[in-house]
Amino acid sequence: MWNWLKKEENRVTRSIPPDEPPTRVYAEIEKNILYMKEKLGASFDILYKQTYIGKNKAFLIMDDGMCDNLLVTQQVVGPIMEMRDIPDDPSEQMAYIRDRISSGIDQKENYSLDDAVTDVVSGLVILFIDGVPFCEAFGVQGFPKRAIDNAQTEVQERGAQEAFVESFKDNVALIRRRVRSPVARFELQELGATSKTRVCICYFADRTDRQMIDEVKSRLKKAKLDMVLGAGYLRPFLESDVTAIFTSVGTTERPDIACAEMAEGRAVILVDGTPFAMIVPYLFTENFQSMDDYNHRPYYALFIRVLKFFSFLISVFLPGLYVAVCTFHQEILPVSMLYDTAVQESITPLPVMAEAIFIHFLYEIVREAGLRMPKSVGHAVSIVGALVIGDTAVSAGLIAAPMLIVVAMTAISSFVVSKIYYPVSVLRFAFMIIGGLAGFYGIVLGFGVVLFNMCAVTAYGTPYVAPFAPMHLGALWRDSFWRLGWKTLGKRELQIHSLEK
Amino acid sequence: MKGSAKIGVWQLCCVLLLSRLLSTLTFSPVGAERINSSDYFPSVIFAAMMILLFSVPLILQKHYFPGKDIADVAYTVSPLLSKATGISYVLCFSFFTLVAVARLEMFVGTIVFPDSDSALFIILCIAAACYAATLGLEAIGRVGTISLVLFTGAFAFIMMAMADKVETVNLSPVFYDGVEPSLTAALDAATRTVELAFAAVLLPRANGKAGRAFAVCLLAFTCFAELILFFVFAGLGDFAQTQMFPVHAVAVLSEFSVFRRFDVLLTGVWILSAFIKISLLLYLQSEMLQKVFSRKWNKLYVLLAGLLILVIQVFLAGTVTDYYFTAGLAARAGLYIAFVVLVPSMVIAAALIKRKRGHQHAQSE
Repeated sequence: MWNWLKKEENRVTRSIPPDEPPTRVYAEIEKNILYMKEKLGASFDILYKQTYIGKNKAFLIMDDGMCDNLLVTQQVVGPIMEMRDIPDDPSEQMAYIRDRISSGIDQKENYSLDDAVTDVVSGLVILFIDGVPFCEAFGVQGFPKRAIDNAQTEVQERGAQEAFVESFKDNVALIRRRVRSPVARFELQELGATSKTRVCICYFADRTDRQMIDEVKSRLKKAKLDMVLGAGYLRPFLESDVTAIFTSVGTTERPDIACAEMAEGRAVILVDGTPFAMIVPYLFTENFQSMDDYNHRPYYALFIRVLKFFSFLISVFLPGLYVAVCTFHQEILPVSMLYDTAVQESITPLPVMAEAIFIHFLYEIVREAGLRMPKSVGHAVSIVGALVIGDTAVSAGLIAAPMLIVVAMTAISSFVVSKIYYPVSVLRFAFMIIGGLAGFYGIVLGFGVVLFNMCAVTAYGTPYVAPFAPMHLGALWRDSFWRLGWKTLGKRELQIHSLEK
Repeated sequence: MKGSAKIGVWQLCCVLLLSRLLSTLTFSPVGAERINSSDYFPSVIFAAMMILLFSVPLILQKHYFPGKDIADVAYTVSPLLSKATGISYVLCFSFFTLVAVARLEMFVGTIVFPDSDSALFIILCIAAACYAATLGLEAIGRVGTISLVLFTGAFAFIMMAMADKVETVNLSPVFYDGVEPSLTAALDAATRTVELAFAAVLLPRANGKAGRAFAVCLLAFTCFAELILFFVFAGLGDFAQTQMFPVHAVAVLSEFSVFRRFDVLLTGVWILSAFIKISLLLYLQSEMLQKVFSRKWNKLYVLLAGLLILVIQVFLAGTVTDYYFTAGLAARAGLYIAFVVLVPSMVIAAALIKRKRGHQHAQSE
């Protein structure tokens, strides 16, 4: 069976070819032109310009859509065409252009033709001169991109509103603007055999565990992928335990949160083309924290965090508990409530567990439809969902009214802790099934299994459930559910790696 | 960064304390020697002293062989003795697992689901415990810490809700029939402290000051047991003596505001604690089996240990565990002293003698 599956997979896929050794730039320009044209093909957006610089044959290549044409003219082509008293020797000529002629700062020498190809499609202009065994790359990128916008998924009441965008350099700038200190480091890696996606590891050099950064880099290097089109592609390589229910890699779209995480000694990973940053290591307790907690007074932050934690418990356990109580433990309910629930449940055609699964499944369908549909149609989906589920199903006797209350409470609660919505929604179904089969006993066992699953994760040396287990009273007191005021909190920064076992 | 699988000594204490508190929670006067209710209070103090006495081999092990578990200590004498010790501990842990599972089944079968067949729940529990045991000691330690906090919180809540039902007139005079009943109850309680055997294996895996942690652990156990017995007997009086699970009866009676019953809360922490204890026992069996056989198959050992317990509990229940529950105190104490006190004492003594001879031999040369 396993072999058959492997064979089937091999039939529809092909293995990614291993990296070939780089080809060096030839001294003969014709060979270079031939190589570049072969590699870049007949794409219409690649522009080639053959010219003479002094007596030497020269060749310029650029990607039209990726370069700013004005910059190309002002910084590269214009000055080269207008220069006077240039040396005749090709190497001296190239050095002269690099040092005296081009006015841009972002330029580099390439000795590999493969690097030159990558640079062309990244928006750099490449200059070859006959007789020179290297080429010069000029950074004149200018591609269409989205402007910096408000945060969509991490809405904040007070404080900054801007969020990361797809452009990688803009995201780095958003962080740099908040931390004007040389301790902020941004190290670059290129991932994806074909996509050559740029991935940036951001950290504070003075407080981040160097070993952790090396571990992040080594894990990223192990990501043998052909295309990296989003941060999600790299997440499994950064996660410490892929069997964990909750991820130990956080995401944020807010640059201020990214900076705060870096200040605690964590690494933030930016992936070109993704408007989210990944954070490692990420602890469970952080799912209940937001930037607003630090803008409000501590007692309110405590209130909000406790509220979020209870919302999390409701969204995971409430439907399962309802099923367990209705099926096995009716004696827990007060008499009046027991009577009402029994009457309501007696008129529905399905057993409580099936009813709960059915209605929650329906709710997830409506939610998914509302999320994926165009906004104009999304409202219609919500109305239909509300009418069908909320009114018709109850009046038709398909579901009981208390079940509807349970669904509503669960749905609203799950949005309070939106960072862990996906694992929570799956766990909810698991607890509904186990609650229907084994009652409260099963739910407690299930809770135990989930707890074990969480406690088994150690992300980059830091236990996922820290500072609760192992218990770090200092960290608990400082900033867990309760947080200290800024007068005390501001005196020292938390060091995430100090929470190691 | 990837350290050895060691845990803090306080985490280890949390797990062991949780395991011991579970035994206190499942305390059943029906199966124990019948004594006056107030005689239980001094018996806890006596039990703590006896536990201290029974832990002498453990203290010697820690003092003379730091960083070595009991099988490693035996290995210093001979590899064969190490294997024999390992096997004896596996049997011992296997039996304790069986007892824990049987207790849980009894609780589930009589209290939670009196009308259903409890086989499904036992299968679920052992499957979950096998999974948990494969996650290792670090996970067990962390879960133990969190669960102890939940346990304490839940129990404090129940006690608070029970406070208005406490009547000191329900308590009988202390030592009404002399000291002997208290001592009997103390021996009974002390021989239920199988955690000393766990510590003989786990102590080298814990970082920190073990002595202080042990003292705190013992003190916490004493306080908790005193408190629980006070609420049980002051709340229920002699009615508690007729209950299979008197702590559960207390939880059923407690009420607070609109909340009429707290047995669900107690059931929750009870099942969770039992689950952690069974996981720990399966893990311990796997650890000892690794010492005896190959180190590679740790997950397989957990699975085999779990399967063995499942088969015995589901198909042979009534022939093994019933014996333990109905056996007299003398039989239980004998079994306990043989496995938890005598075996480690003999192993440590043999290792010390061999070490001394080795020193003498080296000096004479």
